[in-house]
Amino acid sequence: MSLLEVTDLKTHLTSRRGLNKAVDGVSFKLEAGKSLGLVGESGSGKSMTALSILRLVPQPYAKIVDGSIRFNNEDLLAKSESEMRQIRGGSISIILQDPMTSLNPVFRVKDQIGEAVGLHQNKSGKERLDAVIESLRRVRVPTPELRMQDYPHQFSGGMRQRVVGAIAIACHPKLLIADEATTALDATIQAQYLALLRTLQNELDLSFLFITHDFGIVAKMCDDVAVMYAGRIVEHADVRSIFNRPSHPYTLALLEAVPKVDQRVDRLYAIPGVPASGYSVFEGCPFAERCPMTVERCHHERPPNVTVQPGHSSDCWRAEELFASDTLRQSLSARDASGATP
Amino acid sequence: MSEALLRVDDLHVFFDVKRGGLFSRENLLLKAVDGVSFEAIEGKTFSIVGESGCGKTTTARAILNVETPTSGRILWNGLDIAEIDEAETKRYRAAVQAVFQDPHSSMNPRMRIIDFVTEPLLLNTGISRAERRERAIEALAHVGLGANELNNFPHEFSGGQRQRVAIARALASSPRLIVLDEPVSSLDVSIRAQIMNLLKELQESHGYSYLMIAHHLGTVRYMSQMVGVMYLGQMMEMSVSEDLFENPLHPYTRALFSAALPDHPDIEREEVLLQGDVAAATDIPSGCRLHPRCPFAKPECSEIVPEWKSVGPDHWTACHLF
Repeated sequence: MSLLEVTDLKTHLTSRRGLNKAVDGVSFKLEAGKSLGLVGESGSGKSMTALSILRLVPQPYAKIVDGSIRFNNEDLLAKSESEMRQIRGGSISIILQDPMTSLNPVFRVKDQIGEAVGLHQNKSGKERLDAVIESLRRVRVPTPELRMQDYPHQFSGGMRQRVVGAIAIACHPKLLIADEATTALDATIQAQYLALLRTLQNELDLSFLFITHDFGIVAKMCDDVAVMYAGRIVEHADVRSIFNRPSHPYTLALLEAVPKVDQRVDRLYAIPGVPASGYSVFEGCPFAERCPMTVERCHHERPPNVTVQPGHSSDCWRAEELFASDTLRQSLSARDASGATP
Repeated sequence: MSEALLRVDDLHVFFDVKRGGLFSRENLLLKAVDGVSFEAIEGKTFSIVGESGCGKTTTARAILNVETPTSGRILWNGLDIAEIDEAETKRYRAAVQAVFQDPHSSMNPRMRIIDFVTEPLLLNTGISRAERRERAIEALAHVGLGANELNNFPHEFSGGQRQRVAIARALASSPRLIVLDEPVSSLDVSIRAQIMNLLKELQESHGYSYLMIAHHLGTVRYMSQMVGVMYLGQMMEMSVSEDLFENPLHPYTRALFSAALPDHPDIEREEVLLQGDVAAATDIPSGCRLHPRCPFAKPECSEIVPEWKSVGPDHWTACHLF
């Protein structure tokens, strides 16, 4: 029994530009105590997937039109709004990118952490303050008894994000969604924060859903990875398989497009064109127009979901070929993007 | 010795800041850049890495002549840019161009592409309107955009295309040096490689010198021949790029590298952890400014400022361990 099971989720937005199929048939599972990375570029639908889980999609433009989200063996899409309020910040928490906008500048942090505790656990007075202190201690804010009296601006950027973390874990969630949670932090502060998240995961038996564009976060933090493109998961596998044998050309190309810290690269592969979004209408594969490995049918027929090995699937006509052939995968770096710049 | 294209010589940029309430005003001196020296390399890329508040952007702003140095000099072909006359300053401003991080905020949304790209020519050169248009078309062609885009507005472009337009603006005035301040960090991963490759191609074909400010170490390694690591207003280490990445010496550099996210799940990095947060630039620690956070600090580190010394061919550092 998985902690979280998303099946064929579709979240569509309507705007003046027309229909945006931001999330268009996403399925994945997340086990208790594990970490899943949802990787993609802007417009891939990764954040909208996270917001759908919390039922916080922007109103009235966005609507969850199909699919199911089961959490803890309960159907989240069948919950009433007041039941969802108990779940948000209760058993499912989210940490967003910018701590300055997640925190209210005119309230002391004890009140902001205490708000969650009061709402979800009905604690007040001393009990509530104890929970606040406990929570700040867990995220390793030094002298929490004193710091809880401070306002957000009195904390450094890294400490502020820890306060956001303290709010997120204050009510002992089972699932923590980190939506680009460390993107705004400096490298050394980011490393400290990720180490903290790891510790919290072990201490509290948390499951993580990392929403990120950065394969480095995935490599460091995740057990499993789902790569999203144009509202769909195009490849899904355990982290080592994704890095060692990427079997979707988009995953492969993204990995090749990132400059490495640990090795010298003379020429990066550059994916031509721009990321497709949910507005685009496709006859064949959404990635076909940018893909360096297309065959004829890619442009006309939607690729099937191919399981290349247990737990590893790819939406590509050439998935099995890619999985099996080192040479084919290496051909991308050899091809070298020469002339691929539009 | 031949004169370097651009030489930064013991640059200091201090700001007066006021802190406190109505009755307890305190005047503090914020030392954003506190004695930085380096040379841009002709036709190559010199990069400065460091975390927020290290002074890298202030250094770049001083070079772009929008920040006045408190002391120290910036020498362009041997001439101090603080002392040249107005005509020479205009030539300098044409020769030293910049590309900034966020192509959304660096462009005026009401300006057509042609006006945006030719603005530096209008301000810094006396060439005619027709000629400016020619130069704009040529510059856009270099970044892969057509003349049909000239009358478009910024919102009609994607982020990557906008960054191409920003590069075209820099190219239009035939610069010698381009300051790249986080040129790809606001772009999507698949677009970053396009822009980095474009910048490299332009450098190879036109011989531009780049001064890049960046925090992503992979980007720095890919783009640069020479790298300087800054912390709290000073250079901690400076080296040929490959040597720095293969053999980082200064504890701060090692901490920075150790914090870099891995390229692969199997990579285990040396763990060099710094304690606490960066000190305030208004209250810089005595001795080596890293000493309160440095895991290798010795007693002398809190007292004596480490000397800048050569530790190998084209490799320098300021640390008592060496």
